[in-house]
Amino acid sequence: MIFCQACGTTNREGSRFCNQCGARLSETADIACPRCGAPNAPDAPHCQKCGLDLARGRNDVWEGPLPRVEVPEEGTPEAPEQPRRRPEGVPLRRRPHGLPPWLDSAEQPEEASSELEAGALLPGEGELALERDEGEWSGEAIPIEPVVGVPYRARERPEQPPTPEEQKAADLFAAVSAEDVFASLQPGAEEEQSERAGRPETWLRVLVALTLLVAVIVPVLLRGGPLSAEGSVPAPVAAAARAIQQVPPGATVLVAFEYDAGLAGDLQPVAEAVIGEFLSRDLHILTVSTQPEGAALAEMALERVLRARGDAGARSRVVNLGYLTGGQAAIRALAVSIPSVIRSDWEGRPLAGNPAVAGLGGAGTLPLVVVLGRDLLAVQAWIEQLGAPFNTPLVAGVPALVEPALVPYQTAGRLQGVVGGLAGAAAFERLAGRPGVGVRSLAAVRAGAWAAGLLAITANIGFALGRLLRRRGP
Amino acid sequence: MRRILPALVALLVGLVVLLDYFLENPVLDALGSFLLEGAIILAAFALLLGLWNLLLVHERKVRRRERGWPASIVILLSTLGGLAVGLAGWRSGALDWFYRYVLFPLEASTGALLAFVVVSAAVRLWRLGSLEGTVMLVVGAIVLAGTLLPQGGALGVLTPLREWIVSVPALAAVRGILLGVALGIMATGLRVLLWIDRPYE
Repeated sequence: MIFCQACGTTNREGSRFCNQCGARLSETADIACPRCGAPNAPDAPHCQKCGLDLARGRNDVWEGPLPRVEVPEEGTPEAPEQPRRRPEGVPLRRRPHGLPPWLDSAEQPEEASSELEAGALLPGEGELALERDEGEWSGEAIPIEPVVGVPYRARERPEQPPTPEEQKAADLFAAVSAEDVFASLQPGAEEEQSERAGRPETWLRVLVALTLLVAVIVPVLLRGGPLSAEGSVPAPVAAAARAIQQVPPGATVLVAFEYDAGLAGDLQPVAEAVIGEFLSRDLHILTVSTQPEGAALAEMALERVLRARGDAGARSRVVNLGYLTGGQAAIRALAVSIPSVIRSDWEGRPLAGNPAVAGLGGAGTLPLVVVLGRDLLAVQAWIEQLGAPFNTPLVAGVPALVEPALVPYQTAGRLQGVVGGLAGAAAFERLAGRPGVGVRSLAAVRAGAWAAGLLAITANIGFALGRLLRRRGP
Repeated sequence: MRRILPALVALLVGLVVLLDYFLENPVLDALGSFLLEGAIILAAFALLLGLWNLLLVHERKVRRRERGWPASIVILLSTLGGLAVGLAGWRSGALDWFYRYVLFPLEASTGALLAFVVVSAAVRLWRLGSLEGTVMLVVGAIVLAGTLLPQGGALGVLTPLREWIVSVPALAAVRGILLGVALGIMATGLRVLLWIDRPYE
């Protein structure tokens, strides 16, 4: 994209004149940063002076004209930079509460708004000028949305040209992004498609629909059946089961729900399998989350397990500690002392007097902590803040995609075991002798995988046969 | 002073927490715990501040009719609605209903697209004829089949193959990444402690 320096319109690469105003475009000319006015290369992702994300501007986020910048000829002395001043007539905004200006930026002076509409100022320009004049805010927070702090070092680093490897990766990414996977389904998109005159689209769609139907119906009809066939138990799952078996009866364990609903399909079965095993071993269970949704997901898992067991008395052995802000700091504080960080459960009941937490110190002293994490970082945080410094045994439950990333921690002894996704949950349930939602869900996923595989094979055979017949035809 | 004071605070807090991590000392332990609890409280306030900022930003977008302002109305309504449900229905289970029947299905639907996106990306790479794309597609298919398919007969070879992929080449790559990340974190921490980087300015 090339910016028009006259009106700010984005134009296609290779354009010689602006689509909007007709001004001559120059691909090599510098463009002005909308915030600080520094000249930048047209394709520069960030301003070389202030670090502003210029790519956003090329996506039409900046509205209004860009200011012209006179780029001095080589060899001529640069004019001294003029300090940006508050526009005349625009009153200084007062901040009686001492808040940074972007908090009360909704109260724009009318004069600034009128200048903005007239195109004299860019969105946020008036605010920046005001903020700089007041001298209390660095102007690094862009008061547009969201508030972004420009990294300190980014302001000093000159723009670096990409290395050949980076350029190759960028080209590959651009090519992948531009690739239309379903081009073959578009009638008339290519010569080959035009020969088939839309017929493949119809039968392929029918085939896809039938496949999905089979994938849904088969597990329901077979109730598992051959799709639930037992496979070998993965070693990380067996290790996790052993770690749980080593916890003495009556002890308290902690389960951290570090995922959101987007991964509930993969991780709720793991949570239910682990909690069910804890309850069957008469353990006390604490659940906690540093993700806002984790507390609700924990409550759902606990409810399902308790309902399935039909043991109302078991509820007294379970405490949902809810959501804890602070990320890694919260984990560390929890590891040091649970009562000093959390004083009531998720429903607001005080923890004092609850038998599940009676006499508890920090989570670091617990015999086992299970981390159900959405990604590597979530598990890493518990390893670094609790497992490693306190030598607390940790077991991780993660989506199947994340499981390989945890192997180094397991081989190093930082994790006692890993239960990965639905397959891990199903294996764990079988080991525990209580097939549950993991086994049932795995059957459905297996049916889907089989159906998708068969679809791919059938479609490719059909496609190959079709090409063969056309070549041999008249 | 305005530059020095934040730097001194950051330096002292960083050092205390770091020393508390490595040393056994009752004074450091108490100080470290105090700072950690302070961080938790600050994070809670930051959450409120973020909410306030979100409301202001989108209110302004709506008022000025900036690009995408209808979406801002949806954000404002859903944010305020969620807040009202949470505050009013704390004991009645309304928040629980909101979570279960609005938020979770929406997020689960979005999350379910992940597999499609990954497969789509793999197929795109493969169609471009790149070696990396072909390797990614083949390895992904083996790992997926080794995980999901019932392991009987000829398919029995898939499980050891999957185990080998996960425990040898994938493990080597992950170790390299983890070491690189750890070194980067150490370097960043040292730069902040040595006052070379000042992200809080």
